[in-house]
Amino acid sequence: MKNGKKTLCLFLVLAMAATMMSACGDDSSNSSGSSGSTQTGSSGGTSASTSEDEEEPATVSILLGGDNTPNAENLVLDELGKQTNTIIEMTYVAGADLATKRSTMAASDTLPDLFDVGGTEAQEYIDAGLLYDLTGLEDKAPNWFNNAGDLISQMPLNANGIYVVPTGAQGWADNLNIRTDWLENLGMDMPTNLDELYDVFYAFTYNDPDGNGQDDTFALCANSDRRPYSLIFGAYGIAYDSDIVLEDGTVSKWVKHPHFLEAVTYIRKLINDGLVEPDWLTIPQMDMFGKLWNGVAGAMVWECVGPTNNWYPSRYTEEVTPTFGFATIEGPYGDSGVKPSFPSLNYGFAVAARTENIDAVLRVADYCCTDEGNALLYLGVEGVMFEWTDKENGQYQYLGEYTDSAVQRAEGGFCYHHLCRPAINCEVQILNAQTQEGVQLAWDSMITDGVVYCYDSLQSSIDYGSDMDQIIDEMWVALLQAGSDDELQGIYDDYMNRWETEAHGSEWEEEITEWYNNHK
Amino acid sequence: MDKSTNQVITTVPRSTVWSRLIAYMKRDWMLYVMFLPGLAYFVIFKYLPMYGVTIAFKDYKIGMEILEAPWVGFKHFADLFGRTAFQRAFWNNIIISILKLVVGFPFPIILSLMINEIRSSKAKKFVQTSVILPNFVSWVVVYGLFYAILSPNAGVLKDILGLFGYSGSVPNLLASQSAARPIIVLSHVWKGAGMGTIVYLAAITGIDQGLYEAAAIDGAGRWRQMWHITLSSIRSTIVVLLIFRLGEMMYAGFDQVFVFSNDAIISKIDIIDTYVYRLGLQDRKYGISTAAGLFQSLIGLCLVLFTNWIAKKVDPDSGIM
Repeated sequence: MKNGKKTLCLFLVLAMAATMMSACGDDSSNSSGSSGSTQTGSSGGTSASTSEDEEEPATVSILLGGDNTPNAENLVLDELGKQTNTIIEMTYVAGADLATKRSTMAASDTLPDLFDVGGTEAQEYIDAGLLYDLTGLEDKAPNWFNNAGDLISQMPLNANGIYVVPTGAQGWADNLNIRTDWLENLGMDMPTNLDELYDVFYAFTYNDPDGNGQDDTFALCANSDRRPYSLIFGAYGIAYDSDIVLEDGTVSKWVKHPHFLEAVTYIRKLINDGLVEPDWLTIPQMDMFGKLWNGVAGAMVWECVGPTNNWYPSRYTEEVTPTFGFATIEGPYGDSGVKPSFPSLNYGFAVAARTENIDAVLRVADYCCTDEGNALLYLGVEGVMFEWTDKENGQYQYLGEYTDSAVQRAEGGFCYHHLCRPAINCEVQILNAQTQEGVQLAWDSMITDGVVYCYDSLQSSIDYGSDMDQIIDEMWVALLQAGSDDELQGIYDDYMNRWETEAHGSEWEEEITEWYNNHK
Repeated sequence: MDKSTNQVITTVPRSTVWSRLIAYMKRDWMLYVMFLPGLAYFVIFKYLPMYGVTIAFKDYKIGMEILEAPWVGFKHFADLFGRTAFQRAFWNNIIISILKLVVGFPFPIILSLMINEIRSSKAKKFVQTSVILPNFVSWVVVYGLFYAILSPNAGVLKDILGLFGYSGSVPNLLASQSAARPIIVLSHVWKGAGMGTIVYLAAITGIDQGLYEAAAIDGAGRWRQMWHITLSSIRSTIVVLLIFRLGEMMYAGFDQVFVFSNDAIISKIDIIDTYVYRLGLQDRKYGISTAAGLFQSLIGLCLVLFTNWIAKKVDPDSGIM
C-alpha cells in the first residue's frame, strides 16, 4: 500500500514535470504560435514540374489573414506543396487579428517565412534586421519580382535593399450595389441623387419590396464602419478615411472636409428613419453580409466583385436569385464618387530573415504569382474542384460539391488567393460582364482630387497614430448616436479639439503637410 | 509565549537549522518532490520574466537584446502618464474595479449563505452546479449570449417585449454608454459568483455543527445563527479573498472588456489592460506598455500590503502574511 502511494506520487510528479517541460519546449515543427489555425499542406513528391524533385521537400511557413474558415488540411495547400516541392505550414488568422499576431510573432522572433507587412511596422522590422534582403535573388522568383516591376524601387521601405515586394494590383473601389429586382417590384428607377436614394431606401424598408406581405426588410447593410456610407460621403466630395488637402493648403484628416457634418446629418436621417441595419453598432461583418444573402437587406456598399460575382449565386438563399445594379449618387454640390484605391507603395509580402530555406520560400512566392498558381489559390485544384470551359475568356465551372462555395472554401479555394498574387490575377480574369462594368465604374468614380497618399512613415503617426485614429472612431459613432442634429457641431468641436491637442493631431498635420509639399 | 519562541528559534545554531531541515526533507520527501514542479512553475514563469520589466526603463526596440537597449530612466512613465487615453483607461479601471468589488464581492457570500440554508441535498447540489457552470464559459461565449439577448434586431429581449405588445425599436444596450458599465459588472457577477460561492461553502462546511446546536438551545433563530456563527466563522476566509481581490484591483478583466468593447462604449470601459494591449501588441510600443504593466503591478502590491495591514490591525488572525 505504502509502495503504491510512493509510485503514484512519483508518477504524478513526473507527469507534472513532463507537462511543464513540454510547455517550455520549442516545437520546431510548428513555429506559428498558439493562436490562429495552423494548416498544413505537404508535398506528395509526385510533381514532375520542378527541377527539385529529387530534393526533400522544404517546410515553408506562411502567415495570412482572412475571414474564411478553410479546413486545417485541405486540397489547395496539398497541391501548393506538390507544385513547389514544399510542405506548407499556413497560419490563417482573422483579418482583424493579423497585425496583432504578426507583432507577437516578431516580438518572440518566430516570424513565419512569408507574410505581408507594410508601413511603419515594416520599417521597424527592417531596422531590426527581421526581414530578408532579397537583393540579387530576383532570378529565383522572376514572376514575383517582374509583377511588381518598378514599384519595388519606388517604395521607401526598399531604400536600402529589397525587403517588401508589392502586388502592384490596383485594388477594388466601392460600389453601391442595389437590388434591381426590388426596384422593379416597386416600380422605381436606380437612384441618381441623395433625394432619390432616400426614397428608394424608404421604399425598400416600408413598401414590402419582396412582396411577401411582411415588414421584414430594410435598405442598407451597415456596421459601425464608414464604408457603408462611402457613396454618400462621395456625394459630398469626401473620400472617407483619407488624408485630404484643406483650402488653406494644410493636409489633414477627411473629417475636416467642410461638408463632413452635412454628410453625417444625411446618414443620421437614414439611421433614425430605420432604413439602415438596426444592429449597425454591434453586428459582426459576416452577419451583415448575411442580411444581403438572405434577402433581408436590399443594398450594400462593397466592391461589386462580392455581390455580383464571388457570392453569385450560391451565397443567396432566396428561391429566385436577386439581381443587382450599381448606383452613382450625386450630391448637393454636384460631387460624386468613392474613396480611391492606389497601388501600394508601402505594403507587400516579405520574407523573414530567419528563414532557413530561401530558395523554397521564393519558389512558393513565385508559383503563387503565376496564372496557374493564382488560379489554384482562387478557384481550387483544377480537375478536382473546378475546370476551365473557356480559359481564354475566363470561363470556368466548379465541379461536384465545390459548386457550394462553403465547401470550396473549406478545401482552401479562395482563402489564400491574396498570397503573392499577380497584378492581373485570376479574380480579375474571371469577372462576369456585369461585374467588370461595376469595377470600371468604381475605378472611374474614385475621388483623387485633393487626396494625399502618404507612403512614408511619419514620426507623429508612429508615436500617436493609434490615439488619433481612436478619437476619430469614437467621434464618428458619437455623431451618429447624438440625440439631435443640433448637437453635432458641439460634439465635433469637442472631439476635434481633443484630436488636435491630446492626440497630437496638430503635430501630425504639420508633418504631413511638409511631406506633401515636398512630394507633390 | 510568541516572543520566547522566537527567541529560541533565533538562538539555534545555523548548522542545527540545516540539519533539521534536511531531516524534515528526508522524512517528508514525497511532499517536497510534489512541491518541486510548483516551485519550478513560479520560478520559470513568474520570477525569471521579471527581468523583462527593465524594458520599462530602456529604449527597447523589436529585434534588440534587452541588455543592448540603452537606459532612458523614467521617460516611458512620463510619456504614459501624459497620454489622456491612459488617464481615461486608469480611471475607468478604478471605477469598474470598485463597482465589481462592491457588487461582486458580497454576492458569493450571500449566495453561499442562501445555498447553505437549502435543506434538500439534491436541490443544494443542483444549485451549486448551476452557479458554478458560468465560470467555465469563455468571455467570447458570454458576449455571444448577451448579444443574442440584447441585439436590437433579433435579440430575445425584443421578442419578449413583443409578447407584451411592444413593437417599437429596442435600444442597443451593448452600444449604450449608460448601460456599458452595468453590463460589465452584471456579466462579471453572473460568471464569477459561482467560484467564490464554492470557496465560501467549503469554509461553511468546516464549521462545527455543535455551535449551531448550542445556539439553537440558547434560543438563536436562523438569522442569528447565520450572523453570529456562519459569517463569524468564515470571516478569515472573507478577509483573505478580499485581500486577493484588492490585489487584482488594477486588473479589471481584460478578456471581458476586450470582447464587450466597441467604439460607442470604449470611452466608458477602456481599461489599462486593453490600452496596454493596443500599445504593446498593435503599436509595438514595448517600453510604454511595460511601464504601464509595472505601474499596475506596483499599485496592486501596495493595495495587497495595505489591506493586509488593515486586516491584521482589526483581527490579528486575519491577513495572508
